[in-house]
Amino acid sequence: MENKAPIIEINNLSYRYASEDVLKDLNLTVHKGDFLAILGPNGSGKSTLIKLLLQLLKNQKGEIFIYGTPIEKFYAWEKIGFVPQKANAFNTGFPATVYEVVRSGLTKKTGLFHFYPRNVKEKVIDVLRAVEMEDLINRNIGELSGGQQQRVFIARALISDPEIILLDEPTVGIDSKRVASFINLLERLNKEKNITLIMVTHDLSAVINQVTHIAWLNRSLQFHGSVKEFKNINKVNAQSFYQTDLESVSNVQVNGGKH
Amino acid sequence: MFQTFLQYEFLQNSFLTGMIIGIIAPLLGVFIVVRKMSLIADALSHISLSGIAATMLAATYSPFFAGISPLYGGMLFSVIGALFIEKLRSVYKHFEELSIPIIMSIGIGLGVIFISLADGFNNDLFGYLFGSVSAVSRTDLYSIFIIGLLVVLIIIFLYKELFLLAFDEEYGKAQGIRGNIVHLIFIILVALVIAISIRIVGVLLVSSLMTLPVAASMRMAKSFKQTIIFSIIFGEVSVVGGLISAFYLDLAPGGTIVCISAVILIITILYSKKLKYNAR
Repeated sequence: MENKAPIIEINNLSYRYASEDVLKDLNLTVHKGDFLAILGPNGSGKSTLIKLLLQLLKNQKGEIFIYGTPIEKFYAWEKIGFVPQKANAFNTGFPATVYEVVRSGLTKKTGLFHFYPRNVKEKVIDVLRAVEMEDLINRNIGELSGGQQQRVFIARALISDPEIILLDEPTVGIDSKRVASFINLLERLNKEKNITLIMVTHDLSAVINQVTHIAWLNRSLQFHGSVKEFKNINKVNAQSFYQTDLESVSNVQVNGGKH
Repeated sequence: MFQTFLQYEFLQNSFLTGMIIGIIAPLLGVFIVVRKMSLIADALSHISLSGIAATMLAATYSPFFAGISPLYGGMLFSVIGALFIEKLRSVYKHFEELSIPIIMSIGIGLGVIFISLADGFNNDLFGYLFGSVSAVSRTDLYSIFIIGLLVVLIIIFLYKELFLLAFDEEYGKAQGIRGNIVHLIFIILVALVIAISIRIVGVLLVSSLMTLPVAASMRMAKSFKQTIIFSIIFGEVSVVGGLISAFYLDLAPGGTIVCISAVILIITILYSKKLKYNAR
């Protein structure tokens, strides 16, 4: 695993809102092909980290490199897909079809003042097929269930052929029966298309069998390593660790995030 | 009936202007409505009024201004007002809607001062408030045509960006799209279209042309593209029907245009209810 090229490197990243550190001295390296789950309690800086990686927030202190380029000078954003938290992503009354929403994922790649490519419809159908949604291409986005909407957003991210997809709590608001098939879909994209996935989540038990790496965040990085390493330092049941055994993990500091 | 319209130049001017704004006002209106900014049109129309009043007041002092169509004063004030709204939205980040009543009341306040300073144009004032079938000159028509063309071209070329930012602004920004610049261009277009629509529909009713056809369209449309197409059709029917009936019944066209839009809106609401009922 560790001999693969690093595609995201975070060095000494800190971020404060008002006078409170939300992220402190974070070091984290993500390699090509990783399926990384970022876990941590509420207010632990998980969403802030995603926003910094998308440059929706600008770095205050520390550096982020994407493919070796400092993030401030990185412009190939079409290589980075994003799946937002469903609850606040859009107005469900918005009059648009699944086709129109997925197609909009090509906006950056197509370029300013250019029109969508001729084969855009085939591309939309392709990515909808990958998320098993091609039958709903002409449906209104607001009519779909939460899980279906989330698949549409994955298709929107996939259409620009991204190498990395960031997901911010994508399973919030999806009923628990469908979460498993959603995570399996992500695993398939990770394995078959070799897309690097970075997913913020609350729910360790739902993802532990699919992800390859885990980062435990509580304003600073408490743990980062492969799932195997994670299970080794944590003989007890993973879910109970998540809820109660915070202390033991913060003392372990395996890897410290640097490889 | 159409012969009368073709006979008089002033009617031709109003008719062609109406047809242009019947396209561009609902076209911009779709983006305004889905971004939940419907009231912005009211604020900009009132600030346009103060620009029109200022030009007319200036004309009573200087022959230079007498040669300038009040349309341009309205456009200038409207664009400045739009820029202030954008600025105020960033100043009051958590109370973005506050920018609208601020600009609207400044617009009315200035307008009232200019109007009372020059009591010479009270007759025209009625036309500016509620629209007029005889107020558009040939040169106004040319400017309106050029602006209409500009609006359509810019919307076509920025369609991808405008759609993405309207649907999911955060995703657009995460893709590195300069949302602020796109938004600024858009708001300037809105300001221009409002200023040119005032002659036909009037200050008090101009926002209806950007919202009522869109509201009706959203009841019927299955996609964003259809929403735009239906909005333009409804807008066009309202303006043309409104102008013809205003002329023959000797009414202010602002009122007839809005009433036709309202009838269309009611029909679409009833029709979509019937569809839903049948689908059960």
